[in-house]
Amino acid sequence: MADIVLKTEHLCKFFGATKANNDLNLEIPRGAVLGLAGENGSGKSTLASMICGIQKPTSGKMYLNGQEYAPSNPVDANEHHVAMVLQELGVVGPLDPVTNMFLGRTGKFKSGPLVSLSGMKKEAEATFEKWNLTKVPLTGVAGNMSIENRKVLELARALSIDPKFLILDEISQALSHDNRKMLYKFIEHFTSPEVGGTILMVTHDLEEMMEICTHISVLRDGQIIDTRPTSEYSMDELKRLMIGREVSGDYYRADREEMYQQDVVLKVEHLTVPGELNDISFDLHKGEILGVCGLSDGGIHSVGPALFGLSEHRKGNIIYVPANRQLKGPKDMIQTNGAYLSKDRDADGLMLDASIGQNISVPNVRLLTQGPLKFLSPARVNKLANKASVDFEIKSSGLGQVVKSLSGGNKQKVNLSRWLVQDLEYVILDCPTRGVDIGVKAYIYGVMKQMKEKGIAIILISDELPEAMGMSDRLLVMKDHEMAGMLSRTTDFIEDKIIEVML
Amino acid sequence: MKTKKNFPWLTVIPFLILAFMLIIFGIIDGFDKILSVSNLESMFNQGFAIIVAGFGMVFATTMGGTDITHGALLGLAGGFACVAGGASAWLVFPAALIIGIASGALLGTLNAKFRANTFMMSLAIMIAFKALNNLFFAASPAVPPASLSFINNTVFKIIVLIVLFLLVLFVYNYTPYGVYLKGIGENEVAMRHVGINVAKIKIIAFIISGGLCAFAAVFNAVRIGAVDNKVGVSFEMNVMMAMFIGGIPVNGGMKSQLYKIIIGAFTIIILTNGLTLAGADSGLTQLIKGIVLLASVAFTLFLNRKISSSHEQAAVNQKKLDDGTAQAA
Repeated sequence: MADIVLKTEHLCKFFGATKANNDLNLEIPRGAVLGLAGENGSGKSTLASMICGIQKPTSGKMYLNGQEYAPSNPVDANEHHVAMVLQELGVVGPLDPVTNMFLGRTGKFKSGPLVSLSGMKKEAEATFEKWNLTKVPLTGVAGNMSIENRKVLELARALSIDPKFLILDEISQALSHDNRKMLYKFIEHFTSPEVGGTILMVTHDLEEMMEICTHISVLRDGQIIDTRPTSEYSMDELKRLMIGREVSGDYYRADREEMYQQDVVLKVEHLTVPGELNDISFDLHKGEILGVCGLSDGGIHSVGPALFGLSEHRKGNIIYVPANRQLKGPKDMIQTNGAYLSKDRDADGLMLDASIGQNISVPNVRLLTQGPLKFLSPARVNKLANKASVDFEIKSSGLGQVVKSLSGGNKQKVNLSRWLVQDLEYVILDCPTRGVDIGVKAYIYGVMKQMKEKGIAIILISDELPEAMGMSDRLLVMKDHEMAGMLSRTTDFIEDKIIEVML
Repeated sequence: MKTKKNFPWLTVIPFLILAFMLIIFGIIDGFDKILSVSNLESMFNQGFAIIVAGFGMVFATTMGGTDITHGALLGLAGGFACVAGGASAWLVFPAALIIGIASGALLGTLNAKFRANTFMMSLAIMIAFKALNNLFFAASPAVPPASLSFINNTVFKIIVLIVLFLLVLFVYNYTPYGVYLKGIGENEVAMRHVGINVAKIKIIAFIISGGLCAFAAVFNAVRIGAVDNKVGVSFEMNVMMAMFIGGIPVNGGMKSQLYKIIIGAFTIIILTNGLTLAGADSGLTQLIKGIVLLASVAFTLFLNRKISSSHEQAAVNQKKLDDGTAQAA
């Protein structure tokens, strides 16, 4: 390991009393794809943001190509050929994609007092061409692009500065199967000896990390615990190092059998939302976990809003079978003891500025009223919120703590608990383990297993195939907004087979 | 981990401002003058309409809306109530309420069904109502029926105010409706995902806002004795000032509290009254009111920022808590 691109020495970043990075020493060899593994809050993003100049270290030094490196801002980092694709979307919605790509660097394209858009467009296209990126539409406004296309655009933006060192923070999470393949190919090309680039990769998906990265560094409590070539790690060892305790490898279901009661809870017939879903039909049984998976542009995330009744122009029938009741809108689903938890818990689910107790109470107050005047006793509300937070082991300083200040995993626990504290009969979960760390992930799977045992029906919409395969009884595979197949846990759960149906 | 209980500044500040006003004007004008029975009565009577209409406006603000129809509505509903009172005194309140409710229903429907911005829509309605006020009452002011003058009695008004406060407080704090109303102020999308009919909640909120303003309009009309086109001018601004000086969050949400409108209303009444007693002209009074509003809102924002930075600290503690238990497990 002679040729070190980036080196950090005793790097520290403190926020008040918190040591986000504490005496962090890291060496990244040229041509490596170094994966940063660590739980939420272990300091991965802090490290990445210091390297690309967004934050400044409290103390310690960084060296780039052997020279001391202290970027004063991201543009300065760019000038050192260091670029980053951020976890949060950094696209300015109302501007067009090309302008977004060169935002802050439009000076280069100046002709007189104006900026040459055609020149920018040409260079943008050249960047896509050069790196073989999936072509995304470069017209219109960036705000109308899908999240996936925006991610590709951001990658292109990072590449347009001709970086030698690239940081990818949770990029693949938003990408579909095809684009992930494109990304992996790109990574291979970028780090090949001809190009000579180096990549620092932050991802929650450990399977992906094991596959793509040449080296892995494990971060815990702001320190590098261990750095080794990937081949020297096993998955279990990696998890153990990250968490600092043993985690059993299979937190998914242990059985391999499609197994649920015969009673149908929901009957979905010809569910159609123009442009989003086309003729979806299925039965959901008591105690069943019905997985929904597919490429991310295949329409899986339209299933939740359509079933719940938030989509406009919905066609088809959704029948709650025990009462033979047509479900026309959200209210019907709630009244038949159903619930829907959207993929985007911060935007669609939680009230971030409100307290844990207030968040838990909102879906439940209708069940707690007394008398014809619908009196709501604060004591009863409090009791319920307390029960939910105890049952779900929400770690907080109390029910009064503001949800915004919770970690991702605990936010998701609040989001789940406020529904699951009710006697639900069925629930639609869209990516319930998105952005939560392994501990909470295992916990959520445990809860799902318990619900299944109690006879609650679950629709599990998932971007992660291992998760969908690991938990579901049957798997509804979607492709191009249509049902491509319904696979059984007993016979069909083989990754290759599922992917074949998806494509 | 230690949890530091923060002093509830946001709760205390409005009371401090109120006390501060009282002391300042007590010193300037003399406590015996400010606190004389007749002056207290006069202040209560000025504040009554602001508080009653304010109860309504709080509903609109809590869910993140704006209702600036109140000034024009105070005139229009009061005026028509008086006209209806010409036929029978029994029609006075129904006539006013019909106008208030219709105004609220219109505003609510425009906002909830057509997603029209509430500030713009209520501005439009306000302008239209002002035109109607000019049309009907500029030349010939409407006079309330004499048989209704018994409601212009301080004790009666105090009883009405207490009953009304308890009623509105019940809806606001002790029913699911109140929870949803505040929830919409926090995150409207999340309320849809909870299966709540957001449009219905919103329309009802604006109806309450318009209805209570119309209710206040009757008392206002009886107090001043005749409704012309000047009635209610800048009334909505006084109500809003009372809300924000009282410490009701401008964007609504779970931290909104009903009683604060009362504190805010008395603060501005003491301010206005104190300045008048001290002989300040109305222009100067307006200027000082503006400055006080600016200062109190700026101060509230400053405190909020302080609090949210202490939330960051809490987030940091949270992380430690997570890590700590993760290792212990």
